[in-house]
Amino acid sequence: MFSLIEATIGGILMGGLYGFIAVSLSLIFGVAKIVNFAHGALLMVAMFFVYWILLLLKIDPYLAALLAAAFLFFFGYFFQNFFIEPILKREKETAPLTVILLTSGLMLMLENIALLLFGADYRMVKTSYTGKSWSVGGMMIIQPRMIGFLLSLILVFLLELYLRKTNLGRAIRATSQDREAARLMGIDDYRVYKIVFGIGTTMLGFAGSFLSPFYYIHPAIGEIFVLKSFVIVVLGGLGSISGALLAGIIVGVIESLGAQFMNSAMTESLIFIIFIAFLVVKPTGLLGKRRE
Amino acid sequence: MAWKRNLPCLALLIAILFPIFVRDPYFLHAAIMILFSAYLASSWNIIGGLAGQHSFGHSAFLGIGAYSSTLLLLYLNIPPFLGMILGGMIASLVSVGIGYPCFKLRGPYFALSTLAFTEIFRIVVTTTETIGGIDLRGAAGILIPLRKGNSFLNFQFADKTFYYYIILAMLFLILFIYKRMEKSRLGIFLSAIRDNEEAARSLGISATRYKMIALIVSGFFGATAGTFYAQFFLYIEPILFSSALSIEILLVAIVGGAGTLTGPLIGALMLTPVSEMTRAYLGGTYAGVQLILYGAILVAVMMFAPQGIVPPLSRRYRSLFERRA
Amino acid sequence: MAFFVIQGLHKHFGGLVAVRDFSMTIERGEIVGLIGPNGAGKTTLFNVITGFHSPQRGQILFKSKNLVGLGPDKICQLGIVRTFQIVMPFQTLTVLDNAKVAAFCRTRSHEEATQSSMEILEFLGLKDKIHLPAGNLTLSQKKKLEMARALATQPEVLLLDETLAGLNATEIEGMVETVRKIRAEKGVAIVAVEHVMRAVMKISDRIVVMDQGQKIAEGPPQEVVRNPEVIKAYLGEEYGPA
Repeated sequence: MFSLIEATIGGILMGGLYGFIAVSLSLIFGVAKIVNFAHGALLMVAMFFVYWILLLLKIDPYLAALLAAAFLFFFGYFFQNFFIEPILKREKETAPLTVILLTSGLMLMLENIALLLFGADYRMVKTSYTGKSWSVGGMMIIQPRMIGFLLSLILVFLLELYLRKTNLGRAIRATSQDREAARLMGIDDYRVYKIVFGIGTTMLGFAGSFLSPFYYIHPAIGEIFVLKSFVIVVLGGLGSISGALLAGIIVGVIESLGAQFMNSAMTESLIFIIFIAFLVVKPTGLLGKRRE
Repeated sequence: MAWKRNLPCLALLIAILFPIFVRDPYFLHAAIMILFSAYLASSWNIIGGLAGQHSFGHSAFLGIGAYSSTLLLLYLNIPPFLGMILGGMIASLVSVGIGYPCFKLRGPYFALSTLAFTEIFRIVVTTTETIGGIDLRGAAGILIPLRKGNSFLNFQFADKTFYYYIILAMLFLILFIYKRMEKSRLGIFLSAIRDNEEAARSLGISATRYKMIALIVSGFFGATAGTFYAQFFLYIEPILFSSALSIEILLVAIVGGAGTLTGPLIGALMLTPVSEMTRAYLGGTYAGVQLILYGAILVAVMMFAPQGIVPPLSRRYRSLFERRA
Repeated sequence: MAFFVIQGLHKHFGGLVAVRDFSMTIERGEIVGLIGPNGAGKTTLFNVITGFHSPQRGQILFKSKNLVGLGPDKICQLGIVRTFQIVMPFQTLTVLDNAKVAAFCRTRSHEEATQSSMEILEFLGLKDKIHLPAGNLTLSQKKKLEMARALATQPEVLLLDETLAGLNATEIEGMVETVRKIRAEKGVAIVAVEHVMRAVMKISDRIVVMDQGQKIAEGPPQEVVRNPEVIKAYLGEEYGPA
């Protein structure tokens, strides 16, 4: 019983981070309608960035978060500007598949360049709090997970504020609901996509620094995260930030509890099965906005 | 300008004579890989190109074919050529199970769901050691016992030339079938569904039924490729089910031109040498380099020629042809 | 037996009611103009009739068979077909193949499909374009192709959704004539959603007016146009060349 509660808490913490990453994808997928298969690879870039910053400049990952966020912002901006936007502008002839394949190609490149440069070894960022846990009521709560979880929630809260209170935030929400109408109201939707992509990758920069103290780093981890993120975005409902968070936590808990009863690979397939079931039965997800 | 019209015949002639003039086993192997890749991509082309349903889960069929014929061989002594057909039928059956939920979805959601399916298969095969007494060997994979000499019964040939002509015949067959399908009532329906599913349905076409037919055919041939693979390399592993492999397969068709007859072949002619050469020169140390190039080619094609190489080329080819005629 | 009867149709999307308690009949071979301000629910009505949406309440009886719950392909096979507001040709197929796709609704044979397609394409003046890819046609040609496709299914009821949108005055005249010819020679009942008033008045036997999902008036064109309810619904709005 005890270990179940511990596992559940661990799952919630991890799930919060999953949700955070999913929110960044939800912005890009939901607002800009870009199916970004390179999302996980970008996270991987962030994690390696944090790793090397620690190794070379001895800056702690949490402090380096802002650096990582800035780096990923520019990286993402470059990405969007050079590769994705020209394709979006050819709108009439662009099949959704084109963007999927484009980002798949970018994913292949990023992953394998990383493999070439850094090798296939699993790395870990080692800090004073890596592997340490707090004891709460006799249960072990892993410190970096807790910190990452709390920081993620704060950032998502700030994001929500931004989207609701600022002009740009409103423009983003308008564009995500109805692109044509937003355009008619004078909103430059291409600028919105650029910004949204930038926000999304910036969030990945933060996520990279939150994950690195306790998650292993490897060129191929992007693959796991990208699939999981899409699953979470769909489960949570496209266009819903709280939905993505909630779904992320649910997935985290399923993973964590599942690991108690079956091997981790099977929990992954369980999640995929739930994913397919949702797609068929309730494609709008748990909290998604309905579209006819 | 008769020779331009006979280009396909010329190509076929070259293909048939190739092993007679080129004896270097390395080149023969590379040629077999090109034809194999073209065959596999052509099987995807039926569902992904003709029907326009971009499946990201095609490797599932490859894996099902490879594992089916291999297990049938090892446990029931069924000759691989027969196992190929049976594997194809099993894949067709499974494709109905995949199609039923996935075809309710559109665009990226369809792609994601097919991807999820093949990942599920990969995970199940990787983590399962035995099912009902049948040993899947999990991640270790299955080795097919080597039989010496050349034998059609065993579908194993010491002389690789046999493999070459078999895959050449298979490729010819699938291209022939594709061409017939394109012009048939089924093909026209699939093209209509691809171009505009809503309009097609409003004109009396049961989109789900025809998409399913396309998937069944596509799955059958994808699985036969799996058997060829198994009998050629004599080793199969769960990675055959991976989504990354699915992407590689459709990449070949897309780069060449999805929905065209020769697209997958052209794509294979372009991409396979890339992977063979990087493998030869850089070997195991730099295993990922070929994928960097694949990724770069994919990005370049999507940015500059999203229809693939064949459509703009065939327009040029046709206009050249028409001007002189 | 009544030909085509819609009874008490009600369709809402979440909180938005698109079609409210709508009833209407169509007689064999008549041309009914369906008009109303934007957002009145006309296209939704078409979508429900052709099976793209399911109504929450109501019946659609075509020759006594209830269409509610059937898919678009079944409904087409039964004899009801529509055209789309934004033309949807099959871009990669030729004009002829576009029509054949529809013709295959009635036959499995390539010869028969080609023959009936050629007939209809000729009827609509597209004979010399048959081998062109559909994507290469002009807008008014695409609209004709849209109509040809619909006719190739040999329908008894043809639903036209804003066929005249985007056409110039001459093209509109041509299309009006075409619609007249279709009714005259094929005996098809036609329901035409239109905003071009002049055309609707000329061609309709009867007009039905929708506003906010409801039928607010019905009758011969001259009567409807003087109906105060109708005038109120349209007050302050202008439509195309009138």
